[in-house]
Amino acid sequence: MKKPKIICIDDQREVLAAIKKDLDMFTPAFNVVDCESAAEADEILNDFADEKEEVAVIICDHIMPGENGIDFLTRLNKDQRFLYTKKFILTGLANHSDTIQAINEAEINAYLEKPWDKEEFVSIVKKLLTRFVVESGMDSDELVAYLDQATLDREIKRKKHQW
Amino acid sequence: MTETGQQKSHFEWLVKTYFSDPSRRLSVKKDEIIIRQGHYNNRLYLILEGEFQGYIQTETGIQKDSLRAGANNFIGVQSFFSKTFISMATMKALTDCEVAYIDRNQAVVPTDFMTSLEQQFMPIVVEDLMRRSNKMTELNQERGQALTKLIETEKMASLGQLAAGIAHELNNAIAVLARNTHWLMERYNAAIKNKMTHTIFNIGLMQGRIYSSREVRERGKMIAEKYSLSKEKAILLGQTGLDDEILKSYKNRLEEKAEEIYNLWELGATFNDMLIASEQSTHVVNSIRALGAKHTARIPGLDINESINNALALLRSKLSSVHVQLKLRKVPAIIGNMGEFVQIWVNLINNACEAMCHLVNHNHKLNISSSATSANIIVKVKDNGLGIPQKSIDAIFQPNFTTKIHGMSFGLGLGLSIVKRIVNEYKGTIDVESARTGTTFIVKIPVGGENEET
Repeated sequence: MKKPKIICIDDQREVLAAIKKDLDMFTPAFNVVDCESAAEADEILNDFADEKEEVAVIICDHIMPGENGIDFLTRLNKDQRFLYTKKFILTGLANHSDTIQAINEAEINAYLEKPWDKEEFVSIVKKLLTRFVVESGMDSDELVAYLDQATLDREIKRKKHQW
Repeated sequence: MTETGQQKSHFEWLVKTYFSDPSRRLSVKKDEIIIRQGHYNNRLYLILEGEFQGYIQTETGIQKDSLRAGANNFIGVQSFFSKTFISMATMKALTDCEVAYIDRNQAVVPTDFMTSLEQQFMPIVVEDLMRRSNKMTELNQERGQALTKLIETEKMASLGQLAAGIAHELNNAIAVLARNTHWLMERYNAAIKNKMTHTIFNIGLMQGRIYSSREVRERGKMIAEKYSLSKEKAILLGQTGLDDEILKSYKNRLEEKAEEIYNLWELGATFNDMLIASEQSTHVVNSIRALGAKHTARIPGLDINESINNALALLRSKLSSVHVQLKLRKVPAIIGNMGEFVQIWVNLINNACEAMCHLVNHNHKLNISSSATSANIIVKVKDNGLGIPQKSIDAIFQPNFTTKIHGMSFGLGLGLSIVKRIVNEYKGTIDVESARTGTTFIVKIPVGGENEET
């Protein structure tokens, strides 16, 4: 099976490199892909959609040259190809109206400010991966090490309820 | 005869007729009070020499300026003509004065048309009142401006103090991070015995992350093909700036060693990231601190072109997506402070980047040129952004003017006000030309005068 993707978008290479370091523990099961703008992310997403690759989580900066993160995620939120992809904003600063848009329009799943704390960052990613795995119907057994147990229990319960 | 001419001759007639009696003259010493508020006054004074201040004491005890009057102006007008003979204001001599006066018992010297004092004085008094009212408006405006300036200065001063406090705290923290990064880097470098390990680590350290994420993917593909590596390993090596010579030296062990090579390079690149980040934070802190700061040491031999290059180095990561065109001609050295000039360019370039980040086509072009005339060094910073709206152009050099609060990023709105302050201190000028296709800032620094090298 192909590894699901975690996509990181940030216009600063140093920041991307730091994010990738903190995602190191996930690399045995997930593929971490980085890019420097929303436009580049679009290209990558198109490729993944064509190749039927799964995108589990997108971690995105907000303030970037070109399209900003929240506008990008707002667009992604309407994209039928990535229904289960979890959206995570990691930003140095977003103002009030941006944040409202992020919640209402982009329906982001997580928000963290820079500089971030590694523990908190990893814990958020785990929760998001867990929700992705359950919702998209992947087999969670082999992935348990990368998932959040409490979220897993709850999500499975929720899913059973829906059936 | 013109109207003002008539007025003038009428005034002269009044003076000759009513104010030329030597027994009705007074010398008033500076600070002496000639009319007191609420007191009896039955005289109309004509000032021959000197200046009076009129003021009103309010019920709450506040003293308010009500008029200024000089030679050929009247005082006591209100108490005299209102027939109350009680003055509403106090008149104090601001200088030693000479006055002439008439009192309520003054006999009218009738003319053909005017048979009362009121009639005779009316044109002059109306003009006098008009003048007083204009003078007070003027005074109020001046005071208003002075007050605005004072508030602005105080605001800047307190912001400067706050900034200095923050800067101090941050600088300590940054210093610890920066120094220790250096120390770690040196120790690590010294601890590496193997020559190849040393080379790879140092390429990471010296070059940093030279490839964009897109280039990394392309290089990854290329390396995978060239060395028949797995995609995963090739992409690791794609990030590094390692050349074929190094990669080839691993022969058929490249697949096996790729991760180790990458990790070594990444160590170097990480140190590079940390050094850049500490440099950047120091710069940001210093920019804030420079806000309140006056003259910093200015020394001879300053090359403005060098300051431009320094600024570009500081903004390297920000400019990674911008096509920078540099046209630096030789310019004379001046007496100046490197930091101040770097700050000018950093602020202008930063603004240019902000202006261009709204462009949809991502075709960001920044032109920076320097040249010299016999009198000035001229530097132009030109972007191809969306331009400055006409309504904002007058405000851009004001402190607190920012476009960044509701937009893409956050600013203190101090950048251009700092630039202007520094340029002015060098007796230079800064001009801006802006259209929908871009903005050019033109900085002129005089070569002569205080800036001249001796």
